[in-house]
Amino acid sequence: MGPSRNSRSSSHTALISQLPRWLRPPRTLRPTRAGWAFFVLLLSTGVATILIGNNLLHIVLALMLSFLVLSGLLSEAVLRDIRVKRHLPNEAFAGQATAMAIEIENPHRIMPAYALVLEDFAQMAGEAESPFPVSRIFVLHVAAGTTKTRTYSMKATQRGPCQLLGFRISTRFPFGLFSKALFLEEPDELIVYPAIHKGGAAHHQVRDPGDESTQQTQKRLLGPEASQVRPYETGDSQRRIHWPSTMRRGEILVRAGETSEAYAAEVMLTTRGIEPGKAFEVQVCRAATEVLQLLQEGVEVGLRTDSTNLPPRDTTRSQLLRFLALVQPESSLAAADSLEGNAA
Amino acid sequence: MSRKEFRVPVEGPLPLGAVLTAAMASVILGLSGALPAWILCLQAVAMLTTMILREKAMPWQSKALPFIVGSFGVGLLCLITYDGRILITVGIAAMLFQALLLLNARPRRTRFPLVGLALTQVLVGSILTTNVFYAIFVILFLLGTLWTLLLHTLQAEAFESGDPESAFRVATRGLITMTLASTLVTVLMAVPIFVVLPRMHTHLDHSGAGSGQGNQAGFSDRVRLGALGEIRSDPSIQMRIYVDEGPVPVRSEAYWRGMSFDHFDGWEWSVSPDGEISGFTYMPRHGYQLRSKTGGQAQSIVREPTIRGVVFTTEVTQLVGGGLNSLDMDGNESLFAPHTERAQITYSLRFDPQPSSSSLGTGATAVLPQDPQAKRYLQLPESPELSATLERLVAKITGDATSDADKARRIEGYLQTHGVYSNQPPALDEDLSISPIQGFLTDGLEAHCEYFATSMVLLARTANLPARLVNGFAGGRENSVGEFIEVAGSDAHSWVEIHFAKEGWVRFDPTPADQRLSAMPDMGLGRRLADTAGALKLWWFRHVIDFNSNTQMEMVEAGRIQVSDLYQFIRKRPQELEEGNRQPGFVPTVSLGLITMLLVAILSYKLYAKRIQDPIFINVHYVKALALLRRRGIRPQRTQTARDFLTVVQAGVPTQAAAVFERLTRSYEAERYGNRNSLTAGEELRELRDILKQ
Repeated sequence: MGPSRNSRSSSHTALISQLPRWLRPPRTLRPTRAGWAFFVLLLSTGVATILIGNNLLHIVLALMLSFLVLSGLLSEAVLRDIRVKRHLPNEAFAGQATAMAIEIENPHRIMPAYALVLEDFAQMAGEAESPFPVSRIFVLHVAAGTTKTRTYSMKATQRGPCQLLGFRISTRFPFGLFSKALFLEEPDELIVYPAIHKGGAAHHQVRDPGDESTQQTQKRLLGPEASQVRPYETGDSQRRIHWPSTMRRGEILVRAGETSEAYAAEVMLTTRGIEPGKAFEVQVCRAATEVLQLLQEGVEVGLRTDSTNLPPRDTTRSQLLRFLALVQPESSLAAADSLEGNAA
Repeated sequence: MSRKEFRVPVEGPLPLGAVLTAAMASVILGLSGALPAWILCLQAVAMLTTMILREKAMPWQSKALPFIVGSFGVGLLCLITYDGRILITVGIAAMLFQALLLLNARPRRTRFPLVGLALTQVLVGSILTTNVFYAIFVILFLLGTLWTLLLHTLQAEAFESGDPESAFRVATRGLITMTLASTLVTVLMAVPIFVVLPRMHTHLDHSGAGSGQGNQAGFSDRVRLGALGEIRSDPSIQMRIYVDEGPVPVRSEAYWRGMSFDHFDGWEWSVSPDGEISGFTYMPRHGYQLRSKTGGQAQSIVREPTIRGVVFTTEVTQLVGGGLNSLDMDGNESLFAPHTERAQITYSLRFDPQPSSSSLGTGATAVLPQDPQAKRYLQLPESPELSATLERLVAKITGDATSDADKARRIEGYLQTHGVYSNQPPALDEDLSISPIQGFLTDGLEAHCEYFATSMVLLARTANLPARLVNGFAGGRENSVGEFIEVAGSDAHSWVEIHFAKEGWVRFDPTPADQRLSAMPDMGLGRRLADTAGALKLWWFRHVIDFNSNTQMEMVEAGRIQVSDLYQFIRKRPQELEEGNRQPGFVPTVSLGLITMLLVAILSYKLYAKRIQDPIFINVHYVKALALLRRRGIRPQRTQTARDFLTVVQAGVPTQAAAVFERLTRSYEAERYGNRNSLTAGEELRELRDILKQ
């Protein structure tokens, strides 16, 4: 019994989808102005050599040809096997410069890498335009068997998932006659959180999760409960650090449960009956600003929309911000599905 | 941003490699000898100035105006010095523009114009010279060019990226090593490319090559008595001869025939104007067939420029092969390659031994050759006194000779035994009616080979033996390094040919032998060095300068035979080897052996390297262990050392796993800080994985 038609057709589809990747040349090679001049010289020398038949001209022609081959070999040796690793920041906010770190590793034993230019290509979700470089990093020299770290600053203009596709690495090494480039696929996703207003979001709706009717922020006193500890996350208040556990375990731990003096609040965000656009984005930004402000004050924050509820006790900072990064108005089914998935 | 050109000019001193490139290019062009001395001096001054001012440029070097004016000046100079030789003018222009570029200290985006001008000089020089030192200078030129372009590319990239400080830290030892290695690789790659590049010519014109004609009046079509003696004072090498087949000739029996003369007027020899000039047709892969036979011996000759393009042959030459565009022969069987008077040429000979006086049969009869003008070989000068002297001597020498051969031998023997060799012949006084031969024959037989040979020709003709004078070279000296014979001007010699019925033209040498052959010099260091230089020059000429399509085909054919022999040898069919029961070719056998050894060495190294576990493997094992722990929620912090993290792990994993991880940590530290490799890191990782799975 052979494979089913469905599995056969899916394997064919996979093959066809891989085809453009195979057909795309692994390297791009563009002569520089000096490279074109070299070609002209080479051609002229070749013609003169063939016509005159002088063997010393043959020597010069042979040297020029092997010079060309050497240029290709050296540039290939430099680019080949270069490994690049991206270190994403813990948090990235729209409109704010975010530092990204890149590690460039040269695993060769002997051959150093020279004059590498790295461009990190990204594509914002939902954007129709083609991928664009978000950075341009130059590394003059990476010795054999070593790693160099470089950082660059990236400023996302809008919230949401930013697809980082990979790196284009190019070099004009060794002789500046050609610019050789290759594309190193290093897919990654950076969730860009909403922009934060410096002035705060004092007018945004916040409610006490225990009180359905109130529209005001209220401090709520909760009874003491046994504390559970969890690892520290960026944004956790230092007051929540549980020092005994931290000393014992050797890593920073914070209280996961409620204490005798704990505050909780829920930030409201309207998602129904509103169209995607600037108004909605402003609302999201205000909600995010409020969330951060409350977290800084040591309040346990939750988030409630028209279809989703993230309770304050069980929701971490990163979960809240991620939700706000991805939330869409409920005017589309796809947005609702996305929210369910992202809330998890 | 486009990367098609460098956008930011590089500031800083000119790299030394650029000066080397420029200097070597100028030297290569200067090797041709075609440039006026003042141009070379100008270039030398420019280079010296560049070197002195390299680190501290003068203000005028950073301005554009001096160089614009200089460019116009160079253009004007080229126009003024133009003498119809466009190549020389192009070379001069490239050299002078290069000098301007060297002095120009303004920041540059690219050094390619400088390299391009230097390359132009190299190309022009390549056409004009064949000097053996070309190879060394072109390699140095390559080295300078590689360094210049490498360095400039890195500096330009640094400037373009906004990090100009790093531009001056790129000239590291590693980069220098890379440049040297790249030069070597380029040269090695160029060798096979040079061999396989297509050649359109079977013969090459090396006009202008070689050491010049020197004084070669002895090979002109009219030679006065004493002219050959002047050639003998020239020590320069006239020919280099490889013995390809047959025995190496003994010095006393080594003769190379140049010009032959049949008419003597008492003072000078000439070729009869009625003699015919015949041409030969070139036969591919054979050459010029002079006679019907193939010839059992072979020599290859490299001849320096010679008057009238004389082609020197030996013994009874059957075939002349090699790189001659055409071959002519006059009525006295002297050979010429037209238009090669100023060229160094190479050709091969296939020949059979020429009968000489010692091998001539006792009863041999002299006859006139089959030639309508053959009576010219009995011509005597119109001088009654000389004729009377000759007759008297002939009667005395050959009075009781039994045959023509006997007569000829007696004449030869008489001159050899009664003559005295001297480089100072009797004075040639043209005002008197007495031929110098008259004085030679009557005043003690003291002179050099020309007089002895002329006398024998005249005596033989007086005895009714058809004879002619031959000018050429005899003796030579073996170059022990290159194993070839060097023939110098001092080996110029005259001898006689007499025609016999059965043997044809037979060689007679009446010059006293012990004076003709100079003593062999001692093989001191100086001589050895001279021999090495001679061998190198000859190798350079034969294998590089004169490499043509015939040579390529010969190499292919030789390779085919070698491979076929090797194949037969491997198949164990020695009886099927080509004639002569040759052993499998040395080259393919050695090549096969070397390739096998190389493969074994590479395989052994890889196995060894894998066994000792390169440091990078240690890192991989430790990193993989960290990944295992991360899955269990144990992550190292950035501020933690390996030991600190070990403490954390010991608190969070079973004791057994902690112990394994401790060993792994120690291996990692030993590799990282102690440069010691561990053979057990892989096993420790596997153990850790197994424990953590439980």
